[in-house]
Amino acid sequence: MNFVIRWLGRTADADTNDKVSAESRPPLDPKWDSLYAHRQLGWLALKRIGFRAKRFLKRLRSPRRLIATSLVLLFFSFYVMNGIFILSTRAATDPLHLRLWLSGGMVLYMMYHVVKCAWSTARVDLELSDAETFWLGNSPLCRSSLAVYHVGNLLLPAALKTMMLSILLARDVRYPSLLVIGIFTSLVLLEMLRLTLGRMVSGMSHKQRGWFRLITTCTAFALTIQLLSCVHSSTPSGSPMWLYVINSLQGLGEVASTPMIQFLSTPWIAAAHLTVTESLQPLTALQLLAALGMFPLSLMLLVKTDYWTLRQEQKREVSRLSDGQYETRESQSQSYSGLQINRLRSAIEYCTPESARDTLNLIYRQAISVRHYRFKIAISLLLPTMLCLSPLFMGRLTEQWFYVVSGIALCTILLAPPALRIDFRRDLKRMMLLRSLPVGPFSMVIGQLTLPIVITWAFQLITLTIAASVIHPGWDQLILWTGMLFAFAVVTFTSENALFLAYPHHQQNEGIAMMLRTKLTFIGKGTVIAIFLCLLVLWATLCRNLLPEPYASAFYVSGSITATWLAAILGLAAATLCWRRFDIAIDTPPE
Amino acid sequence: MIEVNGLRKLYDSYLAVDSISFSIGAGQICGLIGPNGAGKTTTMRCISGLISATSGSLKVAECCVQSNLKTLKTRLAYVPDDPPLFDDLSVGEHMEFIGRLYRVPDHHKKAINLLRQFELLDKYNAGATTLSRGMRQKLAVCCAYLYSPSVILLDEPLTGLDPPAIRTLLESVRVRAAAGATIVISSHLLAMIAPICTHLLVMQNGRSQYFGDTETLRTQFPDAETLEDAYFAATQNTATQNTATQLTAPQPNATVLPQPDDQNSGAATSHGVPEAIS
Repeated sequence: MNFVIRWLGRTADADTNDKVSAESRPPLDPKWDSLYAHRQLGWLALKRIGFRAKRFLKRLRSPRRLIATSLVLLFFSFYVMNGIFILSTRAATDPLHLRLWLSGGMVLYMMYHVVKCAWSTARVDLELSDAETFWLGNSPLCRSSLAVYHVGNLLLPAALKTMMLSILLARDVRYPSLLVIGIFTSLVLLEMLRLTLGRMVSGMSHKQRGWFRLITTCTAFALTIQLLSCVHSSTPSGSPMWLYVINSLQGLGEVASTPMIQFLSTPWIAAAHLTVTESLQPLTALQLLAALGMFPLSLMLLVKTDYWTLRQEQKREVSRLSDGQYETRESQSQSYSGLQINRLRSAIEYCTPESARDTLNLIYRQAISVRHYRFKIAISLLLPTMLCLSPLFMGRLTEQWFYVVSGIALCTILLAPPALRIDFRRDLKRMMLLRSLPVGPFSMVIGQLTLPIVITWAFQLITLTIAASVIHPGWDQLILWTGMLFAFAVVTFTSENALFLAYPHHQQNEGIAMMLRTKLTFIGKGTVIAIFLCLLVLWATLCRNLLPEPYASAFYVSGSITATWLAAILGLAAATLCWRRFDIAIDTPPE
Repeated sequence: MIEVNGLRKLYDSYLAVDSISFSIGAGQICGLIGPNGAGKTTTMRCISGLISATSGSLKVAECCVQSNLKTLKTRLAYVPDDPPLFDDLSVGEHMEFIGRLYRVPDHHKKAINLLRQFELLDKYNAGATTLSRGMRQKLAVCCAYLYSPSVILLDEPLTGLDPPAIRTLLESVRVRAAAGATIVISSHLLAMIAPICTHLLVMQNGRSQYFGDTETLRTQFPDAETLEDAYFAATQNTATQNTATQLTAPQPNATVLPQPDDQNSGAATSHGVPEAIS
């Protein structure tokens, strides 16, 4: 890397001497910068990567992060060993299917991003950090160079993802090098199109966005119906739930292989063909060129879209100004409802005991955020509810309750934390402020975590009530699972926040650290669920064998609930300890 | 020079700047003052081209902001309040990046001189995260000075600086203006910037309450003993209402006045200040 940096530096200095002649030449296209500017951006990117790599290695050696380092090394060892010794012995996948899944899978993933973009209210501006926006946005660079710079930053995370996927798929292809190129180009293209789409949505008017939402949601709905019909036709009625899960994965592959999805996957077709190449032919070279050619094409599309968005935003601004659709400082101050806010605050303070006021004020602050994001939260919990209730339509009554409860537990541990980030995780930039508040560690944790936990409880209770009204599992089952799942929600959020406070990261972070973190967290959560189920079965067996029947059930229910609530209290203590231990100077990661 | 005519800026549905017009010549220092939320930063960002104006015409350093933005950015420096730095670059690397990007000849030597002037040289290899608020501010100013821009916009540059650094910064502003640079300096510390300002632009609620030279502001409010008192008088509603017509009307002294340093401005290049001071 040092050699590359030196090379960039040398040519930059040489170019400085040619400044006059270079500037006297008219630019071919005013939207694109010279190679010189891109070399400087390359220099910046390499310097930053170098710093991050050093920091990563330093962190790996830090005693403070010993557990995380050990887990990372263990994970990598297992992953690679699994790829070499276990996955390499399995039967190879049919190349045709693999090709269709690769290209179609990218479209399905893109569809997810399309719907997400359509409903997102955030304005996407090339996803630059504050420093990049200031230093690069303020410098004599075209917007296209900022886009190129951002895309350049995406290459390393894409390379890491490629490495992981290549280990999985190496058995299925003849040329691993082409597999790596195919996957890498596909992933980078996906990221660039996602960025382009986000930028395009930012440029849409209110009406255009409404239509876009309608069309994309209907398309996503149609795809879901198609998937469900695939699963329904391939699974005999009354089959066990696990068969539905396996067939739904196959159904996804079938949907990805359909002609319409394959038509939409045109940008990825060449890369997919390249991946499953069976013999090197002149066509392979063409496929390679086509796959690589997608980079400049998608980059130009991104730049064009960016300019279109800027123009649209400017047009709408001018239009609003000319139509008088705006507020001034005076009109804003007239609409201020100070009296209402003061009354609400007084009412809250009146109803709360002195000792709990700190916590309640923090909850009040969280409630304002919940009110702001209420639709997003409702939608992100509506889908898990429907997913958890889907076993009710499968027919086998004996397993339905088990699958509903399992679904709720899975959604609680896997989907609720990313959907409800209204806790410490969103406050990394405000840690100084939180630290300066005259609130004790325990009160702080309670104040930060109460609302996400309560919202998860609401999701659990609604789902359990609907399922219970259909299945009628009995009061003991309802009490048992309600009590345990409530505690499980507390365990989930306290451990998630404890982990975050021990190893904090910025929300927009990417790269190897984040990828490993996500995978390790996923494995960790899976392990927790497995241990939890084993302990439950063990406890049920013990109760049944050691106690007479009337007492066995009562002991089983009360013991299970007590144990999970003890785990919840431990989680709360861990989160409190981590918040107390959190050091702003050491633990706040650079952006 | 900066020529702003009828600048208006709309954020979503909020009019942040409303019909601002002023003109500042080479070698002049304009103090941009006003209460919080008056539209000072928005005005500066529009002038720098960092955000686009909704309406109005802006000509800065002989470039039209709307159509010749790239050239403008080589001639203009904007230093925001609490500038965000690259967390993964050191002080020296920030300077080096700016030197490369703006093609500054002999940028390393100039960077060393500037860092020495602002007492940051011992932090050359220090990471940006280790810098205090004032040091970040000084580094941003050093980066801005490195390529000798002909227009410099400083947004609250004194915040976080220690007294010697304030003195150094104000002196450097005076020197650069004397060499022909046009400087806009926004600050709430009116007493500190008043001695170096040749002009004042007083803003309130997105509108210009006063633009002209500092002496005329005093004469507008004869009861005011200091410039600060005159500012308060200009921004108070009652005073504003009483004098609105008087203040917004074209004034003989509200245009560019000949400055004592005007003879020096001839030494400046058309797009930048002489190399000697950079």
